[in-house]
Amino acid sequence: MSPFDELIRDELHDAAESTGPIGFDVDGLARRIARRRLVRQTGLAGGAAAVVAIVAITTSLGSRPVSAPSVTVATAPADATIPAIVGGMDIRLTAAANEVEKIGQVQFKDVFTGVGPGDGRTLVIWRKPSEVFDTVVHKEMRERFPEIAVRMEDSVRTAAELAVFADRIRSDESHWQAEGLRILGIGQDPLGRAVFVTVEGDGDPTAAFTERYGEDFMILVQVSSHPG
Amino acid sequence: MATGGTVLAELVRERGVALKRYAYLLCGDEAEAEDLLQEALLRAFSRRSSARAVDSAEAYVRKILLNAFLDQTRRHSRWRQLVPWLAAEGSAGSHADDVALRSDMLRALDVLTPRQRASVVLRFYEDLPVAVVADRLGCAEGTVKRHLHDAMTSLADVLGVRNGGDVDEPVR
Repeated sequence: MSPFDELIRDELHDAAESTGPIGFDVDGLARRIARRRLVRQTGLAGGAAAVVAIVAITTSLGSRPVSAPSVTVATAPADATIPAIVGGMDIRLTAAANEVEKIGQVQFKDVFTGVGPGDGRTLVIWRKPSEVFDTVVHKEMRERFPEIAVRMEDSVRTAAELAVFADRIRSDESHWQAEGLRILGIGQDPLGRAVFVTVEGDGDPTAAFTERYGEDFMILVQVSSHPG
Repeated sequence: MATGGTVLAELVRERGVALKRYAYLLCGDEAEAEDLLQEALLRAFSRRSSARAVDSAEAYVRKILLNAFLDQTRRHSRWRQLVPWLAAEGSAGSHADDVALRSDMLRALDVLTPRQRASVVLRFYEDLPVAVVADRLGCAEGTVKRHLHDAMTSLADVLGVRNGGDVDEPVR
């Protein structure tokens, strides 16, 4: 092993040892396992709700790994409401988000913008104001995810509107390549404010993006320096 | 012969911390590591038709845990993509404190793709040869070597350390 390999190995062991003891209830887990086995044995389908895969909102355009973002330019308005992001992976919260997203994208394209995690077990949903949408979502959540709270927020753009704009940037990939910028990913803000663009290159491309696309849509450009 | 329940209890008692550490290095968050481990145990012991020894149960749980990590990172890719953007907005003081408490190594691991990260953890924490890492990830050895090369380059860059060599087989 090289000295660097050994350093990584030592650092990994140090990091691993910083964790605490097991904090979950093993007896409770054993009961859940017993219930699941019973469901399997009897062929009942009434177990946990199926988890539908979330469709990644960011589309990777390249296969090379993205190095650490080094510069972030242009930010959202200071008064924007930003939800706290929880670190843990909550499967029920994810399943609820998937369900809301499905409702929004299938039935309410004209108002739906996005959904994300709020504090604790809360989903924050952004949409153009719509009583019908709110009623449908609240009913669905009460019936299927009663333990999860919902907070509705107003948005300016729908996901569909942002997607059209993102497609426009995506179609300009060769233009940006000629400018020395490689587009690594394009995503949409669930708050409906902006399109995220991650590029690989040097310098600050914000002005160039603004010049080409105007200011109707906010573009947040994240620059990743050339790897290696 | 041990029952499933006693094997589970024994596994968690004797190897639970080791499994949690493994999960922690994969996902980088302690609460998330516990979720991953519980999910892996739930899947492993729900599927098994008969009780196993602790050793074989641990190997099975590790395999499921790795797959669960890779599956979940795909599923959660959207939220993960948003974290650096939203966290930069200044309303997350406690988040910033949390980040500060994490080791440089964990923060460095965050720049890796899930498969690069898993390759590094399997290769350097679990001390597995490249061939075994490839088997665990279900890909070719050459793919693992590429993951490791790219990962070590990124880690050296983030940690500000010079990476002097290629990926070697572990010293046994």
